[in-house]
Amino acid sequence: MATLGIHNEILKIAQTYGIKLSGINPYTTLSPQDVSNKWDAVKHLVPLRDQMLQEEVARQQANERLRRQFAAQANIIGPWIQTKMEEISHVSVDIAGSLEEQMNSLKQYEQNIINYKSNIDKLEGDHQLSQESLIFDNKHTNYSMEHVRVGWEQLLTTIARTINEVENQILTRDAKGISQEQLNEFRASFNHFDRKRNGMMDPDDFRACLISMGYDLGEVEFARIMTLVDPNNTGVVTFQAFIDFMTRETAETDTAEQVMASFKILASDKNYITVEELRRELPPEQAEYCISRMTRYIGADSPSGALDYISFSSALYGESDL
Amino acid sequence: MMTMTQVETTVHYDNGYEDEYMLQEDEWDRDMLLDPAWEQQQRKTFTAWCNSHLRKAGTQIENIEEDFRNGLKLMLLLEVISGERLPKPDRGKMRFHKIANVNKALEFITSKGVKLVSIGAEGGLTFRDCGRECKDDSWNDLDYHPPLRHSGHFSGRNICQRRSSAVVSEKDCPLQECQCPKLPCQDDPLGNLNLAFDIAEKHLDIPKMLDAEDIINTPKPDERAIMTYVSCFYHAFAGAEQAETAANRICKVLGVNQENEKMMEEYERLASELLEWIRRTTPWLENRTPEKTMAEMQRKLEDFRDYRRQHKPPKVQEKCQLEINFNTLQTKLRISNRPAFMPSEGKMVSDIASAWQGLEQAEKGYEEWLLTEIRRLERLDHLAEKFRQKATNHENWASGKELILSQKDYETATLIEIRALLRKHEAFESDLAAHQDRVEQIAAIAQELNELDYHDVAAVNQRCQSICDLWDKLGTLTQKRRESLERTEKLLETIDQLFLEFAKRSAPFNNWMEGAMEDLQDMFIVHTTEEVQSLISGSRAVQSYST
Repeated sequence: MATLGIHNEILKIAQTYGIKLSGINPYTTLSPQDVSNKWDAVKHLVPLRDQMLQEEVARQQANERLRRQFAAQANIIGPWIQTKMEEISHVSVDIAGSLEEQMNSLKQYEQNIINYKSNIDKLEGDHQLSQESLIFDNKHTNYSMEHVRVGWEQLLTTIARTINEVENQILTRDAKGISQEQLNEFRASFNHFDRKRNGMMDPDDFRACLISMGYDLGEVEFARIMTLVDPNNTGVVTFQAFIDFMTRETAETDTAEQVMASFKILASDKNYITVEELRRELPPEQAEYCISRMTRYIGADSPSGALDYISFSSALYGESDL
Repeated sequence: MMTMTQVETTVHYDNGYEDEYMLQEDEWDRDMLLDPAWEQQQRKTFTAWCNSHLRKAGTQIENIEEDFRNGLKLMLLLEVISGERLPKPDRGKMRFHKIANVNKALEFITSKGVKLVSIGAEGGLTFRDCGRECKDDSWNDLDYHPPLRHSGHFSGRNICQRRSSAVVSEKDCPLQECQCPKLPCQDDPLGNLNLAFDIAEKHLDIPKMLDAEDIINTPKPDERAIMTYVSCFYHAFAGAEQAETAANRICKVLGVNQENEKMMEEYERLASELLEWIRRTTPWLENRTPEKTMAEMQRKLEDFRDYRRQHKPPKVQEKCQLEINFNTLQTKLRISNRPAFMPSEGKMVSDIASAWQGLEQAEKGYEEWLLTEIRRLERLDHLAEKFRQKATNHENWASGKELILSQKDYETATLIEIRALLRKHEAFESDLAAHQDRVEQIAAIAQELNELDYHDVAAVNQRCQSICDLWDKLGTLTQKRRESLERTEKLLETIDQLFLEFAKRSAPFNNWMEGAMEDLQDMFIVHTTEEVQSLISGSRAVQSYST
């Protein structure tokens, strides 16, 4: 070191010529010792810094590995979920086998999905590690954990909903005696008019469908049909509601009249029924049910405590006497 | 007088009997009409039978002759039995009123195709017609095997078995179970009969029209009485059958209704719970109060992860289940021809959908906010630490400098020392310049800490301020010292120059003075005044020289 060399030079001269030095350099406050010490300190810090930087490199590499790991899984899971969604929607929309076959197919998908859950859990594990390491972005994949979560939730909901739809179609088919061919025809019509291809018709689609079947509808009539077919005002016509509407004449169900006739028998032909008769003729639970729900009968010849089974029967079927 | 005809000793259960029975009828008519025991039995049976029907109209009779005299109760009886309304009775108390009523009754009966034997309004009704009045086909349906073809024993078993066979033809008569085990193969006819009558009265509402002792002890019990009694069984069951069908139908319908109602309640309950959970959870997701440290924020992030992984999935499933329940319920209602389900206010499908949407919106915003905050806090932590380090370094460097710079050591310094001091000061000035950068950096960091809203920014600002103030002061002091040093240098230089000047001048003058002193003190020997005069001018010249 040149600077320290100067100091040595001074010492040498002093020694050679026997000059006694005060030891203080008037021109500066820095002693050679200071310089030497500081240089040692600097030298000491270099490897420390190096080490710190190396550690950081390792940390960043580990982070990168986490990113890649997450991405590798996410890039498989994301498309898998999408594919399943599409396949499931095809099962319900396509006109393939019988409803039971559809159901089997859907149940298989359901099992498939249940078995796949472990992959989602693993991804969540990696995601947790990522977040704990303060990794907030990942250029190796377009799927964030949130994307996957949302997709997964949608998938679970879709499969459950679709299975339920098929169950309900089976109920309807059995109750109304609709054949598979008829169901297929309905499906074909429905699909044709479902322009958005989302498994539901909006009112315009439905109207077009009705017109194509020869219904000549005015505004009022169409509005009335819409309230039948979409009573909860969701704005869409489901396949279920569609089938229902198309087969509304063919159900063999109890009617209000039949129930009334039954009550009449129990009431020994009277137009009202008494609490005693109800308790005598019906099991206790049903008797109390009727007693608590029936209104008082208002008529010329009725005793107090007479109950009106006629309006009760109508109300059961939503027919109001008003 | 009765004749006993012993035909068989065992009971036959085939229909061959009917012909014989019919043949015997007229014979019995004649014989039995005169028997008081028979009449008593008849009366009892008949009264009880009438009452079993009259009960439905809310009335009873005690004595046949008396109570049917005015025809009112008779008409009532007929109404009950036939299920039809008779013309309105005359309510007068006069005999002709009563006759009119009874006639109305009789007309009614005739209109039903029943042959009335030896009665008129003025007489009484016999027993037989009442039996006929009850739905004609009942005789055919009833699997009737006259127990009288038995040797005088009347085993209670026959009635019971007959009833059993009638019972067996009904589907789910619950009474069978409790009765049949009690009908043993004992030979206790009296016991069996009484048991049977008891059960019939209790469970089938058939009053005891027969007397067990009478029947057993009478060699030929009255067939008609027994038939009437048995026909009550038939009607109990037939009527019961019809009623049962009606009741079953009603139960089925009500069952469907109850099931539907249960599903509706379930929907409402699940909807309430889900909406409540959403109401509780949404504020937590919307809360954006920042935390101070990164550790706290990371905990919040962890909580959010737990929410997404553990708390939300079951709710997603609940929502799905709610939807499914709703759809299934609507389907079932449609299929069973019931009106569609309208959930109560606030629990409609649309309400739930929009609440759920609100939740998911809040969720999305929340995670983004968490990540932004964590990034911000990470940078802040880093900057704060950097500030601390730099500020400390600077403060260490700056400590004592003020004092040094304020020294007045130049006041007692020599020129050489001043020059050395100036060298040192130059070194210090370059040191100061080198630190200018650092101070600017410190200020810049403090600025960023302010912009990023560091929680302890007040302390930072204070420290930064004191550093800057000191820095300014040091700058000023440095300047001042330089001036002082330079000034002092100049002065000392001037003094030095003057010293030199003095030295330059004083030396030769000193020499001259010393010469003059010697001269002035020189030994002189003079011989002339002229020699003295030249010495005097010489010393006077010295005088003038000094001025």
